[in-house]
Amino acid sequence: MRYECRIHVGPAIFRIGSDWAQPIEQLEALYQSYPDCDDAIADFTVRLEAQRFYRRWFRPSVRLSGDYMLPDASPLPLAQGLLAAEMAMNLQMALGWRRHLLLHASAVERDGKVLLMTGESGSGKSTLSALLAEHGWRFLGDEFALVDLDSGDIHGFPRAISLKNSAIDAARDFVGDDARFGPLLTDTPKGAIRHLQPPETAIAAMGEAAPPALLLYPSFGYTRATDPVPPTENFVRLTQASTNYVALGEAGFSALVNLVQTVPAHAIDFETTDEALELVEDLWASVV
Amino acid sequence: MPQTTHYILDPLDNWIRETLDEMQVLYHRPSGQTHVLIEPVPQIIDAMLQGAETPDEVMTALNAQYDLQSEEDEPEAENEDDLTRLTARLDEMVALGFVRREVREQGNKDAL
Repeated sequence: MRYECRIHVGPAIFRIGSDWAQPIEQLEALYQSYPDCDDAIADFTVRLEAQRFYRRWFRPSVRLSGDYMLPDASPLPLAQGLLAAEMAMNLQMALGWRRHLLLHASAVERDGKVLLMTGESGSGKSTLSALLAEHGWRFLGDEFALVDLDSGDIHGFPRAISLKNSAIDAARDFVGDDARFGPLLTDTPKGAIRHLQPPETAIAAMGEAAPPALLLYPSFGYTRATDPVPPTENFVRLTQASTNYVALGEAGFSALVNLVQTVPAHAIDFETTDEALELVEDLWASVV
Repeated sequence: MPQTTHYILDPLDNWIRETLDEMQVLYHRPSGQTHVLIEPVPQIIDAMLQGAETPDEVMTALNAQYDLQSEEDEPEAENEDDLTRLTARLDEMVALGFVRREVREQGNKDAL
């Protein structure tokens, strides 16, 4: 590829190649605080390619490819090249990672214990993890939580936080430093998207795993409430939230059973960030 | 010669069962599938682990364990309904792959 960089997030190293300089420059700016891994062997390769050779210049359009691909993925305009790279990196993890049970969940750590938050896209789990990261919690990731197949500990995957639509302005209220935000990407398939660099302390400690203590199913936009989630319902919902549960076979089953048997789960509904912080602190106090 | 249908549980090495709350989850190694078990399937498996193979034997084991028939003079038709429902559950377990069905001649221990 004409332009290339390597990015080290949690235990994974990505080699990203591009037909254009712009997405690589944006990635390097967003991931400038991450460990240098230029000479490391990559776990996954991602390519941002022109659909046709002339589409490098004429209505430039990015086609995602790499070790793992979705054949019917639509190309994105070059202005959304950064989003394309992030989507392709997520795809590699979702389809190719086998060293941990991979949960579609955000995670933060405090007092040596991990709080997991899972739910549908738009539930508020990314925003809540970003919010907690500014309130004394160590950010472990907003997209994937990696469950150790032997110990059950949670390994972080603290890539840049993907904020969508109203969460962008909300995050600007609680993150003082404008320099940590990436470019605003408008009219993407998920609306407006802006990436946020995690705090540098979180990036520096991204190799440190910790045991989980609490699992939450946040729902933003509903009247304040909490409701325990029984273990079997939790188990079934987490099999749906895992991209590699089936591929891992018995190892995934055992890791998930251990998680739901040892970690209490609650659904929480909230309408404001203050309510979310109060609910999290109340539930956290009950488990640590 | 009259025949009876036996239901044989997969060998213990082929599956793991874990209790989560009132429900259980079962991982079946040969198929790689996970099953969520709700009443009465865990109780049926327990009866089969004690050696019950035919619907009658399973029903007898369940009755002994759980006192399902509270009234001694329960109409025979209801017993037959219970047996039909139990056989349906056993057939579902066969479809899921962790129980196999064998038809044997009565008095003959060998499968046909």
